Amino acid sequence: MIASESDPAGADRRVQPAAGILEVRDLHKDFGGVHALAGASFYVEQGTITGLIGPNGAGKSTLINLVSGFTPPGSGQVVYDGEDITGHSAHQIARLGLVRTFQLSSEFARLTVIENLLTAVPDQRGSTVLAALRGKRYWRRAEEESVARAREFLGRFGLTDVEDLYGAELSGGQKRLLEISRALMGRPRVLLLDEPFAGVNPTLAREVEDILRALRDEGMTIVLVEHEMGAIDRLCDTVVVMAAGTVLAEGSMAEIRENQEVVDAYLAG
Amino acid sequence: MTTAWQFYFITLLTYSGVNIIAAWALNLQYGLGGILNFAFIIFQAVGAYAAAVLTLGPAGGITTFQTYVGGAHLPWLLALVVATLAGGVLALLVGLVALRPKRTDYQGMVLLTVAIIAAVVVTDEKGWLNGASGLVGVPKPFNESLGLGLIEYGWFYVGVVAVAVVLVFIVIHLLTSSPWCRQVRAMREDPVAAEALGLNVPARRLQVFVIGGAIAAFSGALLVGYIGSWSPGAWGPGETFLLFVCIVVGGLGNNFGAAVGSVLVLTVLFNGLAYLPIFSYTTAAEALQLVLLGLIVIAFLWFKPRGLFPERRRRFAFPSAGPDRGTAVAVEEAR
Ligand SMILES: Nc1ncnc2c1ncn2[C@@H]1O[C@H](COP(=O)(O)OP(=O)(O)O)[C@@H](O)[C@H]1O
Ligand SMILES: [Mg+2]
Repeated sequence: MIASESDPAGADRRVQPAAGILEVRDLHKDFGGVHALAGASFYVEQGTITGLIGPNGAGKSTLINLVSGFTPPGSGQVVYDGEDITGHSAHQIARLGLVRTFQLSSEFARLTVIENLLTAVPDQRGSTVLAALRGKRYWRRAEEESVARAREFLGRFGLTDVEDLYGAELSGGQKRLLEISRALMGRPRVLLLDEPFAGVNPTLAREVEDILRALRDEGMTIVLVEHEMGAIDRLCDTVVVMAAGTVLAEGSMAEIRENQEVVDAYLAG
Repeated sequence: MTTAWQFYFITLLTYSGVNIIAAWALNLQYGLGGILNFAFIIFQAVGAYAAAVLTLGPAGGITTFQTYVGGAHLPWLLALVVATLAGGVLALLVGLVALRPKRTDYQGMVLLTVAIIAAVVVTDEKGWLNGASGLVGVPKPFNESLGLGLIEYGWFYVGVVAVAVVLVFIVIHLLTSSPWCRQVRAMREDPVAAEALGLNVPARRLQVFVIGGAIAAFSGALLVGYIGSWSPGAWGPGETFLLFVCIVVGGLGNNFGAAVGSVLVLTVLFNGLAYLPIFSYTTAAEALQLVLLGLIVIAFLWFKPRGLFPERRRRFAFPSAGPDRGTAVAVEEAR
């Protein structure tokens, strides 16, 4: 992995070119005595959907938390679009276009559905103190544009009729949809979805799959954690199998199925 | 109206104005920002002390009986501005420490501790702000140049406070109706998710804290201009609790509610009785007030947890047909 040039510690801050838009290199993370991540490495190519699978406790959520800046890494590197983002704060990473959702729904309960989406618009006019003090005239035009764009997403996710409901008033499935559409409002380049189909009914889940595929075809990169193998099979270009904090195997679903080690460790169980 | 009654209403109106401003500041911090500022009153206090020393003149002159630092003879309006800034600066310093914990309840505990320490230090360090006796003889704003009688001056000051309330309302309204405040509310709901959307939550919290602190100090400066004295007895942690009751009763996250709550709780229930010129206010009456207050809090938390005027649901209009009349800006639902 290490490039041929000499590497005196700390002297060369340049990052080795990444193989894809996102690359994770030898990530380690301990929680007390638990090795949640024990040297996980893989890369993600732009414009693909990557599935992250593995038994409970394999370290999938920890990995997402590290990549998105919510958990400081023990050691290792996260390279996004050629830049080493290890240790960047979560909001910085999001602003770079790497946006994540959570395993547990995290809608803004006392904001309406459309407000939830509007919150995610980067640099929305009127979202600094000084701009706010300039009054509605200053930000109203930009607000209208964002409202229109938010409504497009609401339409796409079937949330048009609940635009004015509070986040707390949605069903479990609607909350997942809200979260994905909210993440999209920030125009991310890479979307990290932690169990996006949990609690979503199968019909709706299929519709969301279609949306995710369409987003990929528009050039977005998606990494998702999912337990339902049917969805993984239908959606993912690449599958990364994790177990005990490391990557067990990486490849297309067909390749993964032929990997006896994986079948023993996970698929059969 | 007799002089006593006029004086009564002057006092009530002045206190109401000050309390409404303070309630708006706390509502911004807690109702909208989710910051449990249990040290709120120290920011009002710093404004009052700053305005006092900056208008009292250097210590040791005619006021040899009290010791304090920073004495100056600033024009009142300038002192008011400096006092407001002092509140903002104190909030910045306190906020940098107290808002470090990620959990808002931990932040609240740190802030309560700060408030208690501040009261102890200011009481014990007699050289700073004259300790427990506090400062007296603070000049009344514009009093010398106006040369009015006591009652006339009182009504004049009510007018000053009214102007101040309008000014603060404009600032609060601009802030709370903006996209900025939407992000503040998002941060209140789920700071982790807000961070995931690219919001710098610690910085945003600090902004809210500093703005609230400055407005609190502004209210303190107005108050000391009226009562002319200021001591640790005026700003115990219990005062912060009273303001929390105001915004819980009125409705968290609603500026109108905060104003109504402060009038109901502080003006009617507290000051209204305390300054009534027809019977003497006893400790028993004060104790009864506190009991009543406790019952009100419990009743609201139980039956009406969102207060009399809950946070409004903001709806967005659909663009109308005309080419230049698209107005998809939030309209607050009146409820
Ligand atoms: N904040 C934490 N504190 C302590 N242990 C944790 C924490 N987060 C995760 N773990 C542990 O790390 C391991 C991996 O967890 P996680 O990443 O959530 O797995 P997965 O998402 O694959 O189910 C588990 O053993 C879990 O108990
Ligand atoms: Mg998980």
